[in-house]
Amino acid sequence: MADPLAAPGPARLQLGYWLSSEEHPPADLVRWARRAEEAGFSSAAISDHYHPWTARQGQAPFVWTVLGTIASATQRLSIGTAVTAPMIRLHPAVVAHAAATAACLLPGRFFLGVGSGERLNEHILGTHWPEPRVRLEMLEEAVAIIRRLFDGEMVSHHGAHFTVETARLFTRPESPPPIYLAAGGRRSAEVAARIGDGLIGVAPNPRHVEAFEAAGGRGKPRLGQVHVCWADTEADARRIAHEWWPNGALSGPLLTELPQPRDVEQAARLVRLEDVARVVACGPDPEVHLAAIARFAAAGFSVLYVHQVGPDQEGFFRFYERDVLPALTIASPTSRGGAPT
Amino acid sequence: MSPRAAWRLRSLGFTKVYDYVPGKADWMAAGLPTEGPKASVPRITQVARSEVPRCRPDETVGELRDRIGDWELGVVVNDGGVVLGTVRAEVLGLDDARPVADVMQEGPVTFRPNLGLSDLAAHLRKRGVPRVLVTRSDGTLIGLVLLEDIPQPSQGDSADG
Repeated sequence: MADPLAAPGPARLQLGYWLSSEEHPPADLVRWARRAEEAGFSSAAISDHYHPWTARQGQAPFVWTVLGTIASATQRLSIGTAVTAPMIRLHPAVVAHAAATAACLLPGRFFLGVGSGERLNEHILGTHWPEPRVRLEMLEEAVAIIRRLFDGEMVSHHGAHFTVETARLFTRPESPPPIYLAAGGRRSAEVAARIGDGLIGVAPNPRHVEAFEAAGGRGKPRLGQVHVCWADTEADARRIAHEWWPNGALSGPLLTELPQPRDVEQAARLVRLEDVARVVACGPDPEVHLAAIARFAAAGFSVLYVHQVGPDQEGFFRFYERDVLPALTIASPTSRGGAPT
Repeated sequence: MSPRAAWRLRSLGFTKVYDYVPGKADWMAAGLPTEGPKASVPRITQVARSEVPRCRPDETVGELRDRIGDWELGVVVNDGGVVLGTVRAEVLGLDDARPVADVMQEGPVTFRPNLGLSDLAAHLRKRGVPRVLVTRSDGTLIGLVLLEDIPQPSQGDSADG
């Protein structure tokens, strides 16, 4: 298995860029991926949504098409899904097909990030939305199917949740891409350690990382998402973050159980400017951004994806190139530390 | 020796009796030698890595970088060696001037050296904790125990208190 995020030695920090499918049209996502590579980010993660969280965000392109175009627009950038739910909207055999093709187009620089999904994206086929425990079971079964298909097996599977009949992938990469699992609690972190090649977390919670490590995940990549909003002033940044990412201040069932953007918008009406500012590092002060990154590093995350909330990505890139990236000692293809291979 | 045992021995006529006032548990927790049937029970000090890197909270990430090597974390201690927290190796990717105090995890779980290995392993697995610090009863560091360093219990092993 070629793991693009495996650290070249002891645990060290890598900085990646978050491609927010909910906020950007597909052509812009490709443009920002290329720009991230140029700026010195070692990798990128792209979200997979059928709907944005709110209508203001306004976008949700098909992630696999975008990934194919990013493959031809970049040379070094590692990239993967964060995360796709290979269960309801997309059957695991289909996700395996898509991911194997993406891995062929991104040799040695693709990872498959998976999770148990949100109703917002997965309800569209009218299928029952299962409770969290069942979704985690489904994810385990799905990952097992995907791995067998990645290995080139002819797969027939009649499981508790999925059926696959005589399926075989003819287009496969030389070695299967790593599969990272999203986890928001101890139980899912343990599953991630047991069946995954890495952990994806959204909060700087050291307990989740420790549960992952105790269950066998030591030495595997731990990916985290850091929300930031650069703007000329802190006040502008807070206003933009509140306008574009109010869902950042929601948690738990409000994110996993609501079916439509308008439902999330209704919940987000209760979110105040200061609530968003607590989860999004806002403004033009590099120290604010470095401190947000430091919280995830201190919790044991090894690859941090910086999500610039709102439309001004170019301003963010210039700010990071000038004021943030030079302060760090990250492993990156174009900065100090060498390639993360 | 506990006060009760000391009194009993004196009442039996022994004259050279030393009462360790803090008590037996404290004696054992300090890692001092013991005798008796349970003295051979494997204790966590046997696998504690005393060479784990240490630093002070007022040191910087840059200063820690030279010391931490291949370790996954360092232990933050005060001048007296009392454990204040831990710091992950991932912070070495941050800006050199950042104080360790900014990026340490405070209040780490610690155990005393008299704890049996099998008890510790059961606790760590149950709680999902990959590593713990071993400290003396005064809070000073003895070493780091990794879950993977603890031998898997064989059938017949019993809890040893």
